[in-house]
Amino acid sequence: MNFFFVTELVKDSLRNLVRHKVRSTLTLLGVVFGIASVITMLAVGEGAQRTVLQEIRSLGLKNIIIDSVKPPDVKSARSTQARRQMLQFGVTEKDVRQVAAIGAGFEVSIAHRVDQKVHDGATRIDAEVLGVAPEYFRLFGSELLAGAALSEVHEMQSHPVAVVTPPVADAFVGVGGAVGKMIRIGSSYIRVIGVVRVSGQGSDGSVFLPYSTARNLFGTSTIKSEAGRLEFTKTEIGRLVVHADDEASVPELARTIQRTLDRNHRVNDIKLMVPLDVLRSKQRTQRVFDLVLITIAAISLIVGGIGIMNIMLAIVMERIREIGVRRAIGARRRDIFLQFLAETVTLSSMGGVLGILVGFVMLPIASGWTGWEGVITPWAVISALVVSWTVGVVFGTAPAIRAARLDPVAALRHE
Amino acid sequence: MIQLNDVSRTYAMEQPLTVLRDVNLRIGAGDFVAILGPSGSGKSTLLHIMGLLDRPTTGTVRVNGVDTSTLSDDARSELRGRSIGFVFQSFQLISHLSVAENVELPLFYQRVPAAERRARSLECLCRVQLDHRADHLPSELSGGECQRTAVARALVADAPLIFADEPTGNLDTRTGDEVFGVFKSLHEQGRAVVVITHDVTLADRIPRTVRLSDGEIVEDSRDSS
Repeated sequence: MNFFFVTELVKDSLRNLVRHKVRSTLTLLGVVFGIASVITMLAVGEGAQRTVLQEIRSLGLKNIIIDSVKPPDVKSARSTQARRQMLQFGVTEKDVRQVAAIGAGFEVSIAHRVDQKVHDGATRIDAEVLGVAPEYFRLFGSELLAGAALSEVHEMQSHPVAVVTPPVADAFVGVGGAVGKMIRIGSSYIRVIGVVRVSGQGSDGSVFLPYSTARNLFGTSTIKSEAGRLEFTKTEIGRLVVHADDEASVPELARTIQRTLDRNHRVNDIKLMVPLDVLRSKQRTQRVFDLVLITIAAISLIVGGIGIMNIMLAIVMERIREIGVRRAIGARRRDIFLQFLAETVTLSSMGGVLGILVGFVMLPIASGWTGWEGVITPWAVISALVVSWTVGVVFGTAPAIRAARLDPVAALRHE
Repeated sequence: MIQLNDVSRTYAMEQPLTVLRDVNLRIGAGDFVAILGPSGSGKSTLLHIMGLLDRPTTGTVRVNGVDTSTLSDDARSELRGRSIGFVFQSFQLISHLSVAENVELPLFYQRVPAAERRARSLECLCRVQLDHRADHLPSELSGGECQRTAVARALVADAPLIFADEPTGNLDTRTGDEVFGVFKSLHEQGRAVVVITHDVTLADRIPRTVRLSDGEIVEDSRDSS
């Protein structure tokens, strides 16, 4: 097949399509919206995947995180019921010792969750307060944006200092403006010495104190007033983080830790999270999600393709005499086949290009609606073009065969 | 040039319909022939068989000595494109192509490069005095201009044989005379021209007349001369 012949077939197809603008446009619409849906869905899916995977990765794929959680099936001690009874739950120092004694190849860090409100003067700042050992920042991967980091000295001397994440810093006056300011946590005043971005914190606001400072200032017990009643709880350790030396050992280490902790905890008051497992689970879910998206896109493209095929069959019927004339002046069956196939592929390819453009326009709307940032990858654009081209070939073949098989005499006599 | 030996054409129907019976006909180079007959006499079927658009049920059709019954469909198309030019009663121009593009279409199927196609189509349009209409659409032409465009299309591939099916049937007398003049000059230039018509007046102006009736040749003026 001659390249120039194909080029001229495409030029002829374009001319013919332009001549029937309304019909061509209406025929294109199915493919345009099919491809636009493919682009948008792939982009939103890709964006969602990247966001989720980024969040999971930021928790550290070598980390195993054990959080203290209030057991759901145990009522806390109410002042009116058992004022002297206090509900104790979560990770204990004994747990930490036993986990540390499991073996080598990992290190352990602890965090203490402080259940107190944060204020800048009279203004409440929405933030989680954690007392952490200095190595906590290394295990999660952090970046110091301004001021100073928490040090061993702060930890040993229980200094009333804190570092905050950018969302908290922004509540003051920009990143640099937070450093040196005093914030109030509960009834204690703490000086902000630095701004740090910690992986896994996402867009949450966090205030980090030295672990010893948090324990000394706020203790391990909490008294909460709820609906006029007081609630007493005690948690020795808010979070235990185990950081494995290598990713491969994480699953086995997690199982060992789980078995160790299960011996100490009869009730469900700890939650063990393995970011690596979550990542793999999310990746499996994403594959199912992708399959669903591909199925939906395929259905919409099949509908678009059937639309094109119908119109092309109608066009063949409309141009029977023209086909007869072309055969009479020397066109072979395959010339006629290629001519009609070229017309369908040109039509569907134009639909593909327009669909990609519409996809770019639809993406911000879809992203705004779903709350996920869409990402259009070059792969998605290339796939959309290949798919639109394939739709043209698949659904253009039947009309093209029909045109090529026409008997030239019958075609010339056709009224 | 074209030799038909005992050609018959029967259409398979509930009652098989024979439209041509044992036709023997020879068209030589430079012949100018009118095939004359009333409607239903088999003129168009004969034209389609001679033009390699249809195959005879029995008998042989030879073009330049080649037995076309053994040729594939593609080979017949190629031979048709190179050897035969068609002019139809209702012009049969392709409406979305310009006059020049219509004329160059046979060359397109012979894979002739675009520049050469354009040059040759303009040359043929010049010969039918339509070069000034090259970029117009067929819908912008008169009936006579359309038929002259169709003649130019039949000429462009330098086919030695021109078949014209009722070429003046849709034209008024003056325009018909003009178009006939074009065929006459083609004949004078050495091309074989076969005109299918039921118009006796037109046939009388053509040197050789083949008369068809009920699918049989009842008279060939060459034999009687």
